[in-house]
Amino acid sequence: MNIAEFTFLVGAGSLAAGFLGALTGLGGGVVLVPLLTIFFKVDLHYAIGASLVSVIATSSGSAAAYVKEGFSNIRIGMFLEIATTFGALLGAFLTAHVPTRAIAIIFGLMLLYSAYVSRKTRSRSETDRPPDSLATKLKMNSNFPDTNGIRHYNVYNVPQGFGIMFGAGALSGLLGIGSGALKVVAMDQAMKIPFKVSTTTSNFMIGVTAAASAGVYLSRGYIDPALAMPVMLGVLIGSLMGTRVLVKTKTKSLRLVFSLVIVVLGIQMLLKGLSGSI
Amino acid sequence: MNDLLNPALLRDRLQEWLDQRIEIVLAQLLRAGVLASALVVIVGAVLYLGSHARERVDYQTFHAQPEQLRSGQWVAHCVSCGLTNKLTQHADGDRFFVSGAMVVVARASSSGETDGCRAATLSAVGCSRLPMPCCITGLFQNPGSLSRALCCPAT
Repeated sequence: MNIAEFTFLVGAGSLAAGFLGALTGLGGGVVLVPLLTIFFKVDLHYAIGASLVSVIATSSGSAAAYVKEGFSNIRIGMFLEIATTFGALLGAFLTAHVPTRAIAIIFGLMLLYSAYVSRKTRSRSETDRPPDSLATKLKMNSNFPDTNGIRHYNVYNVPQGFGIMFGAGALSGLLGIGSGALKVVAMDQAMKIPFKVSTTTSNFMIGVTAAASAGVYLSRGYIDPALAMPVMLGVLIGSLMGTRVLVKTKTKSLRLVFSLVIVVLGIQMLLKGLSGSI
Repeated sequence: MNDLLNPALLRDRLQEWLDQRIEIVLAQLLRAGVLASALVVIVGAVLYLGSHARERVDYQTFHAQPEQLRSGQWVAHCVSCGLTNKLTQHADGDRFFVSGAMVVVARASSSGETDGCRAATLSAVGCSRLPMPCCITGLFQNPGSLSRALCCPAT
């Protein structure tokens, strides 16, 4: 395969990944790395580096809309980014020391977990409980535009959420994904933040987390510009298209299909990691 | 009117207004940053594919990128020194340009995290500072050894 064909095919695959990732809320990065390694036979380190660059672009592109509309809670995002950034640096540091097959196994498990989270019932935000003192001190309690007007919410379990975010950051740095699934768990399940705010704030955060580890990957020579180019452009265009289509589409069945795709990719990554053929 | 007479309420309203303003500015910066970064990558892609489209590709085995392509400082340093001619003679053509764009994106973003700024926001700032026309016309004419293109030698 020559460079033109490869660039076109990778760009098209990345576009599809970005489009479906935006529609289902799981992000393009989670299918990009398996796509590149399994179908395009790209070395895992190159794939992770390219995916990280695309995650930065996608996150920034979609976060722009969410921030402007008042869904993302920047205060929460900025605070939790302290944990994810340190985690991401640790994860990126570990990449050079963890064997490739181990990364593939962790990636496979992460994919299966992402699929599980996407099917899980969302927790309801708690408004009847008294506000958490730490969250109040950090001015995290806020409101967002809901279908019935402006809705207020309180934030709880800040230290617990902070801890989970460190883990999410480490996985992001290690695997080259946004690890949005884990970030949403920290905010939605642990901190009791409404799902809409959790997903949009997570979207805002994943770019920062990816940027922290991208610096480490870049300094190690893991980011190949010729590969990152079609991946970044494809995912960016795909996710922007997905965000536009999202408002008009019923995503329930699509989420199911995408979850199944992730399960298949996860199993394939696990098998490749276990057999050492990656 | 009563709201204006209550200092605590007034402070809250002002804080809320400031938060909203920050959100709007941040959103605009993010959008501009992503657009600017994408444009840089598209220009790089056109130039790269224009000269290397028919070459064979191999990403199966990992070879780390050259040392010079891993640092944003040397790119910025070269550009700030106006060494486009030097780079024209020595830089590894199109790969340098695409790399440069990526370096700016990644470096600028990672260095800006402490401010809470976003990746693309800073990358756009970084990109806009580059004298693009000089880079584009200069860097792609004479491919050569990148290892000789270490920045700002005593000229």
